[in-house]
Amino acid sequence: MSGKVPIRKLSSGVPGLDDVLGGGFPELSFNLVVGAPGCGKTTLGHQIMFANASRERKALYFMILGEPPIKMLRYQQQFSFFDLAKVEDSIRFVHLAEDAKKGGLAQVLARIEREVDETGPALVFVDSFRSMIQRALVEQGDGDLPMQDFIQRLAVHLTNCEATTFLLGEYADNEHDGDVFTVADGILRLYQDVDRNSVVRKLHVMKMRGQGQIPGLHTTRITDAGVSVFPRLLDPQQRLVTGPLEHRLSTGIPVLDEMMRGGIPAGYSVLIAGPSGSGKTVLSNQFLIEGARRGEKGVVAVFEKRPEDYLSTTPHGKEFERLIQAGQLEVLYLRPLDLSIDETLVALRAAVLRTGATRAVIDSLSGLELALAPTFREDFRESTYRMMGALTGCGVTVMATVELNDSYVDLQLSPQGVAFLTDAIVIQRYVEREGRLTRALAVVKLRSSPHSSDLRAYEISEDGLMIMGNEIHGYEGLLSGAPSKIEKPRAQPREEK
Amino acid sequence: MTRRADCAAMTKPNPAQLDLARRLFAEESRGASLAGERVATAERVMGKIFARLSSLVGSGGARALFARSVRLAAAEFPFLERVDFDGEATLAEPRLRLLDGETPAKVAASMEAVCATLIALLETLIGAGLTLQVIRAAWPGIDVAPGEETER
Repeated sequence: MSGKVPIRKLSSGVPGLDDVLGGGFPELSFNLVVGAPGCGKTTLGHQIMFANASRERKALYFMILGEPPIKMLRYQQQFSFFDLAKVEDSIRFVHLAEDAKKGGLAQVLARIEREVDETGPALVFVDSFRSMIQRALVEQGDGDLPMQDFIQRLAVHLTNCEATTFLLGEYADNEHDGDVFTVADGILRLYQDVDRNSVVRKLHVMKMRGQGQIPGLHTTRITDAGVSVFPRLLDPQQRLVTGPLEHRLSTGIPVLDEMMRGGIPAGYSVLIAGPSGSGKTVLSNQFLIEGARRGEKGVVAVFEKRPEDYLSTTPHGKEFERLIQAGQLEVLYLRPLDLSIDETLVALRAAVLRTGATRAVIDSLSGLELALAPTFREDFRESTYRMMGALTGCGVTVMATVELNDSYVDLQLSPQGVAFLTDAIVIQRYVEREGRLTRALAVVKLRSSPHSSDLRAYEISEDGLMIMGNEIHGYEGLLSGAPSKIEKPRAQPREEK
Repeated sequence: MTRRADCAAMTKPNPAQLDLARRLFAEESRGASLAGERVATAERVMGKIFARLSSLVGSGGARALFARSVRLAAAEFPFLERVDFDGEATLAEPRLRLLDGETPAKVAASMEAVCATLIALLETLIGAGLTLQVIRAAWPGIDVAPGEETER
């Protein structure tokens, strides 16, 4: 036995927040939730309270100066977490406006202490403590309590009363309050950033005593269900594929599998890069259908079209509908224009873990980039790297399509510069041969594995299948836009690692 | 000039809310018939609601809601204009005695209207669920079925 005090963790009831906190809020901790008006402090406070309050674990919600109680009740009950049955039963609202007006901080503290002593709550919320402090600073009389004493005494009293406490307060984004912040065991800062026409909500765990939290700014979203947090870094990889090169996944196109020497190594990320109409989605469709044929489940994330539109226009929509009905395929539609990579990742990973999918398709990275809030586009490479790592870390094999510029003088494998992030790259191009535009495909990269370096012609059949043709020999400069015939075609295709 | 309380958008109690108010008064009346007793009944009803409501929305919020209910009910009972709510007043105080000049029946009817209006106002602002919780907490034995939509 170590003799160390065990600290139980209180689940926040906020999706994603426990992961960020390192497991939840330490029981009996004294926490601050700070941020500018409208960033979601009260909603977060209520969500934590309703998730945790019960007849055995009562909650007291002190309201001082700020949102009128009746308005708060009116609006907060719109969230699905708001449980009417808990109000006045396990949750009690206490209004301190008159105490603050009559007796300042000293009277507010006395009232809080009295209410806490009488009720014995497991959870205490003070909303908004900042308005009270600001008022006290302005009007502080000789007999009133200095602010730091107030916070200090409040923290000590509530901890001794075995209450986990949350003080909600308005602070500007870069404002620090050393006197108050020092006392707190945990500090959560909420942001609402405006970038051009988009608004992005974020959360930062500035401090959480006694446990490791995930650093950084995490995207949040407020919906009818309340606040959700999308951790910037998900927990460590869960089921890494062992021996990926020995376990390969068929693409559904035998010739392409052969070019990859047996298919895509399990747990790899593959980039399918090509210009518009080259058949990227066709290839990704075949990859998923082949998986289903082998009894594997798949997930496809689409950004440019709603699921019904996607199913009606994608080459194998009918087949997909059947697979969805059979529970072998899930189509995720993620299209808000203020999306973050982390939100995408959380949704994709949840779908993969929920369905047990071994194949995931992102169609397309170009659509995903457009769906992101402008602020996240700046970090697209870094965040795509995290997303690919987290997804393949779940053991899923990921195929992502990306729109390639129709440039024949500049061969960029991906306009976003994300090509190096994936384990494999298949490039599709239009090439001109003897006055005809044909499609050609090559495996550009397959990490740790030999692969063909041939350029293969292919066609898209009327029923939406990739029909592979022969290697294109006898030309050079096909991808540069200035092909020319070679006098003596090579006899054997080259092979390189 | 049209008085604010006459405007179509103002909250008016529906029959279910009026019925609930009447039952609350009946519960507290204990057979009272004299004017003074009826005022005392009204004070008890309002006092109970005020106590529960103050716990939920604060005493300042509860006072404001009462004041608003009286003002709305004054469209039907103009003598209610004489009920004065200053900053510190509560309905548990004998302010209703200002109505002593009216007949007991009128006072009783006006107070039921105030109560029904308050219920309607609460349902508009915080929903039927929380409103009926307030009533149930004050009168645990009374049957309060979710009401029909408040008339506005």
